[in-house]
Amino acid sequence: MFWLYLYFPRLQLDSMVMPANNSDAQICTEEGVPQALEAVVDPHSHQLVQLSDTTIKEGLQVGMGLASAAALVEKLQVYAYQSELEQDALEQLAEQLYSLNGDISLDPPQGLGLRLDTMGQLYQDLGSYWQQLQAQLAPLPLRYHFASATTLLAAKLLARAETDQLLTHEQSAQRLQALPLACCDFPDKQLSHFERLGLQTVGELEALPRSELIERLDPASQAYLAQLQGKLPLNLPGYQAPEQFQRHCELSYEIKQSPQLLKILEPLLKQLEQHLRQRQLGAPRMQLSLIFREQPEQTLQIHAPAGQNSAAQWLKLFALRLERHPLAAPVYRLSLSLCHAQPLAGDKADLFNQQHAAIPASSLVAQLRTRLGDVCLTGIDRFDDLRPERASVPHPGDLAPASALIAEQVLRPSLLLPSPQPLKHPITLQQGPERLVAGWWDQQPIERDYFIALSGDGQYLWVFRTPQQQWFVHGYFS
Amino acid sequence: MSLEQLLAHQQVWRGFKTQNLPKKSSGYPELDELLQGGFPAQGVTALHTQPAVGELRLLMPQLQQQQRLWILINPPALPNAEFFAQHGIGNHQLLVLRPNSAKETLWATEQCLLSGSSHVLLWQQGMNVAQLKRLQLACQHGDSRLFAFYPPHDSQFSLPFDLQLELQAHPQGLQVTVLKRRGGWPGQSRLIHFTRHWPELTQQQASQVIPFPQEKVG
Repeated sequence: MFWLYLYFPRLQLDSMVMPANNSDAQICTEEGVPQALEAVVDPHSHQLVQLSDTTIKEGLQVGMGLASAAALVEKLQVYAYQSELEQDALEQLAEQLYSLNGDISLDPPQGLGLRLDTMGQLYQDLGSYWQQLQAQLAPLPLRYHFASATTLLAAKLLARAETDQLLTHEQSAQRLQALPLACCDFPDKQLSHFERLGLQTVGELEALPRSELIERLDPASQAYLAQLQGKLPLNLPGYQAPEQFQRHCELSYEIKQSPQLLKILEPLLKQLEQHLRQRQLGAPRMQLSLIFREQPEQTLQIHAPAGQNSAAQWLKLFALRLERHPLAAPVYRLSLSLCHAQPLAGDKADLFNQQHAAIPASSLVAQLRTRLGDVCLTGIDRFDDLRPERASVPHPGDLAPASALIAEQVLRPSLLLPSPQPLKHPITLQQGPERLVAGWWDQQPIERDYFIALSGDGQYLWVFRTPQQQWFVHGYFS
Repeated sequence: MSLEQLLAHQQVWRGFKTQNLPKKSSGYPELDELLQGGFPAQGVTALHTQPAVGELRLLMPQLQQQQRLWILINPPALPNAEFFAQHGIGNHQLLVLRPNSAKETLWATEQCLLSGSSHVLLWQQGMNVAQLKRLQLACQHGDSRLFAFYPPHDSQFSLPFDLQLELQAHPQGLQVTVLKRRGGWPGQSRLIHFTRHWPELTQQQASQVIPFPQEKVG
């Protein structure tokens, strides 16, 4: 077995969305002080656990108490450590690396183990594999350390010791031998015991005879050492790509304007595109939850009924929606989720007329619907029914599914009133009657005599007479 | 300044360039003759008409030729799927929009024209030159067509539509008058006969007309 371990020492801090760099620069020039002085603090022990580069420059160190940190740096921005955020970030990362490596072990809160020996057939050598992995990691704002070794635990220890090299089997064994015992996760009691024995490195511990080891180590530490040496397997759950797409985004500042929000949505939507493309799926509906500090959570649902997988199209739809409904209050957290996915339906484009159909009909309808609202949009359903109002029925919110064309030529008006209106003007009957008696089977019977009528202005109307001799207009021969 | 210079700066408009603008046959020989070949293949056509005199029926052959969406914006009533299906337009090609404001109407019209996947029938009054120009550019970009319906004798006369027609009800069909056209003279008028297409909706046989008793009205 051969493992690569990626260790992310500042996962929470790095995965939080910080204000864009350019706005940062403006503040720097205006005030003359670096702005992003951020640190993550353990809420129980009140110690700093993650620090940004700028805070390290100011002299803060990991493990420092909050009070002394605040005394040293005046404008320190502090966030509480949340292991769920790191777990989320780790899973997102695993999903992105899953296309490169099929065997990934999550080691929460801050590590990923990638098994390399099974991937050998897919890549020419370790170098090309590492290049692709780096290309995937480079655009992410994450700081990481890595190392490779024959066991996952050894790779983890070497990565945490900031080895940052791809080691061969022999090299990794040598490095492990030289690793101080203080770097290992032995209990404190055990470590002080080693110190009294004069043991400094892992190599010295391993050199002890087996009988002595059993005598001097407690059972948990024995198992740990066996895992380190590869004699016992380390059981970490293998990563499996989730069916659902869901992203949470914790903002380190509040967003008041929709353009800023769109900037944050863009990378998330790119991830969505990757997720959908890999599965040959399209998303008919997305849900964006915006969490405000003081107001209740707001949920936006955006539809693209034909299923859409392009990030650019989704971004456009979100932009249209936010144009119609500006943000009600500053947002400090958001989550984007895919409600359900469907197989991607290809738009049938005209091969010889491609330059014109820039936007397929389904995208156009989705855009109109997002901008104007569901109620402003109506398709028309057609059913085989004798009753005119049931043969042509509004289909709210979307284009109606196609029905067959009609060959028989019964004269029907081109425009139909949503409901028949009482006749109020003098007319001349032109043709008729056409008696329609239907609907006795489903409790919505009609009994009408339809006429084509001509009004004084030369307008052709479709009117009918009920058995009670009441007259109604039902359509226009426009 | 010489004539060549004027031409180079596009300060002189040459009429013959517009002679061979692409046209689409209207489906009625009389109308094709009147329009010198048919409706413009793209652009904005304004129709000044009473409702329900046959203005949509006049356009039906146009609508049939296209496999695109037909988007009806603010129509006076809902399109009847039966009628359109009889004339070769599937109900899945029809979409009705009723935007909440004039601004949204113009936005939606422009988007539909730009998309290249739809043509638009628009019932909306009040448009200025800049807005019309924008819609014409959208038509060019998407190779699409906009038919805008206005009441008769409306104040839209000064706008530079690609084609502007006035339709008047006539016992035998529709009297079509050219109010403005690109690359041609206005003022000609022709009667378009509906007797062949819609014999029931013309009054050629006066004997069949049944007078409607006045006391039954309302």
